[in-house]
Amino acid sequence: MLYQVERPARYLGGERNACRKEDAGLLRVALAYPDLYEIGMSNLGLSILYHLINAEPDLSCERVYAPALDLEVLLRRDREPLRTLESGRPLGQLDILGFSLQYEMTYPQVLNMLDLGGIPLRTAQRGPADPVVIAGGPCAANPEPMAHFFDAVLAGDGEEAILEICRLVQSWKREERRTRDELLLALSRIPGLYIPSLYRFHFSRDGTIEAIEPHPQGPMGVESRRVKDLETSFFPTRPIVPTLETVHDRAQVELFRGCLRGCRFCQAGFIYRPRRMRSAGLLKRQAEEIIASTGWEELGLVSLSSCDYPHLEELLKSLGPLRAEQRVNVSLPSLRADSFSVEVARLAQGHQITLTFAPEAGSDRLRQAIGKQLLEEEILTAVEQAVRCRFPRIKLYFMIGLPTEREEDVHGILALVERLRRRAKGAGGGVKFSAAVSAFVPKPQTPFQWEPMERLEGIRAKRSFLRDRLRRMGTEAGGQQEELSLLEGVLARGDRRVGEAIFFAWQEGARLDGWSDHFSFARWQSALTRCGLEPSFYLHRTRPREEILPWSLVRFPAGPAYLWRERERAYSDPQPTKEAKE
Amino acid sequence: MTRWRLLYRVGWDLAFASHLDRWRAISRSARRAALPLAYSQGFHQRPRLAMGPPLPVGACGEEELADLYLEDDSQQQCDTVHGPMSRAPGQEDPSLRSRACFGPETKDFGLNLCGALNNAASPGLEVRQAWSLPLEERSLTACTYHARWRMDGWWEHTAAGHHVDAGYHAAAGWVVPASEVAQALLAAPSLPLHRITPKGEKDLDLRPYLLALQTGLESIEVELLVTPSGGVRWEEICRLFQERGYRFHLCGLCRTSLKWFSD
Repeated sequence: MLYQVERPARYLGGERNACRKEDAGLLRVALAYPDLYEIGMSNLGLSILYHLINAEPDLSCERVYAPALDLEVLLRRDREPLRTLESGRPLGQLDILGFSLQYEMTYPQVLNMLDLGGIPLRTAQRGPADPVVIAGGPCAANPEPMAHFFDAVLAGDGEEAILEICRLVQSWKREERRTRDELLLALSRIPGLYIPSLYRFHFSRDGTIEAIEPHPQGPMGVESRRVKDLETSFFPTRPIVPTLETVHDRAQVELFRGCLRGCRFCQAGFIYRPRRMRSAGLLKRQAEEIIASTGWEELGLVSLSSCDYPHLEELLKSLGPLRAEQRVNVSLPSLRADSFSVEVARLAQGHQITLTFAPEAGSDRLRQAIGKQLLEEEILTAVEQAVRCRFPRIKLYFMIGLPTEREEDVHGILALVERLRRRAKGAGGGVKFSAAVSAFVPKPQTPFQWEPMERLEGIRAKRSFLRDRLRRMGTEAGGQQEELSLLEGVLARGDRRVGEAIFFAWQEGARLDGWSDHFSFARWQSALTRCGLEPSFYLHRTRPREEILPWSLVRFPAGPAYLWRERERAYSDPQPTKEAKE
Repeated sequence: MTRWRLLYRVGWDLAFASHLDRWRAISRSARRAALPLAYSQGFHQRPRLAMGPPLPVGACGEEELADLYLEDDSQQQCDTVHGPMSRAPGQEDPSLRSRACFGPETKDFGLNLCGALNNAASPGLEVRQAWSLPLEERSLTACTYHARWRMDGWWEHTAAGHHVDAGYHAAAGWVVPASEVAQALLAAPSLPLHRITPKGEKDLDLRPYLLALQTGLESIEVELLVTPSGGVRWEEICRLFQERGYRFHLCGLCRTSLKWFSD
């Protein structure tokens, strides 16, 4: 079979630092990523959980990634199950299968992996011999669209709860007479673990949620888990070195979790609060150990906004020997468009040749409204400095359809790019600009969770106008396909009825939909229609404050009252909070 | 700078990696081993590691070749970093699978280099020998001229429309399948083939490349000429058989040896 598929190394495992435990009697856990190996292997969260579980002698953790279409065809033809990389065990023979949900468009792939693994798709169909199917990651901010398919969803930092979950399932497995319902009820007592089947949603005639009825013995919602002290928390220093090149084929150390910036559109900024840091000394030790155990040539200093790490210069200096003697390039993936970031990028400069900035909007007013504390002059200065530092490429990210957006804001994007080009030319030129323009998708657990999303025609018109003008200016223009953004919007703020549409779309062949060449909007439209769902109900209406939101049972540090206040500020007092910047 | 030729084995764990992935696996093994690597110059500095003829995806290799360049003081640095190589294989790293690597304490740097690399090697990679050679010696691509392959699988007699049952064949004492085809191929003055690749199409004659060919009950063994501009692919050998009534279903592929000129 491996001779008949593309990039077969995706399915083999056996990489350096992978763990393979053969002993009988171990609790068998597998972490699943509903996308290809090359994407999933770059995920830091899964790497942390994988090594954390494997550090326990009586637990075994394996990996499984979504098969590409060519392998799926062969698996189905030969009636072969999807297996884990480490032991080749069919997914149906595991005790726990944990999915990492980073992006809504991977939902159909979850169903596909369950189906290929021989696991009943719906939690109600699973018996005592089936694995416990859990999920975590940013999409846990709204677990409802996948409520029928997951036994449990963990909100917050996985490393805080994963061992508790494993231990509970382990003890349940030992007591054979207990039922699966008892297990789910017991799991619901683990803080942060949301058990969708313990809640009944009642919908009113207008489609909104009328009431949520909890199980008599279950909790009324969950509070997300968070690691209190990142300094003492587990971090793997012997990560797996992939056999084939992955999207981020590099060592990673996590500077901090959470973000101080408070951009109102950014889900990660709200769900990973508060900001928790690691010391420069610890990060240096971790970096050295990782490089020694992996041989990687690049080290990523990752976080939501790496330049906000207060000890960055100290850290970069301390990594000097690693960079000089072992030729390790240091990369800073999340930079702000300010001159300090450019200076830091210059200091770190390895083979980083593209600087990516996200002005997000075309005017200072709109940037202030969305909480992006960045003034145009700062972006201009940053670009000027980047040109002086001889960065040959600058990529810019913009969003359209943001709350409070006006026509002049859209034109402002063109004006800004033009000014940037002129400033770059004045500073010596030789830089190539590209811009990604995508539609704003309101996300749950953010101040804009009540906001309507722009309609398809509007997004199309604006994107087409901008792309056309940008290209005429000599700037490459890209961004996410409009239909893909719309669907992401439905799945992001959908309720459990949307799960049926996901099921139908998967049945009709939806796979790897995050990849635009696999995506079919017509397939999704047909699936939504088949369920009697109207996308505009989820997308284009302003939700009143009192409406019960599908994700209201999952509570993150920034609660609804705070989020609403932030939303109000976007309309009434959009001034950037300079004090937060400090 | 010193140049070291590595003779290494590619096992199952690396068999399905690409040529570039294998380059990365060896260079990372060398980095993990803290060898004093020589690097290329320029913006993207990379370890100086030149690979032998590419091994196709899906193939194991028993005697693969690569040239690794080390800094001048490599002998001294390696002794400092690794000390005497007298520990048992894998002792430093419990996650390592057992593999034959180095023997008792030795001052021989070639063995020392093998040991250091094997101790840090990616699964599926085993360095069997390492020896130094002059910097000016010809590149691996230029000096490799011969490859021996073994393909394991099963035969299908497409003309007769049935599988060739190897066990039944052996019990009946019949001749091995497709042996007459192998003889005919070797006797042919030319073996024209139309090759289609993503880069384009071309017509070529396979016969000059074909040095020896033997079929077994469940195998094909073939010796091929390797030239700096390339050689014959295993699929093309199978195609020759298929065009003559025998389809070979591949289950395992191994380049068992490479031969090279020495200056």
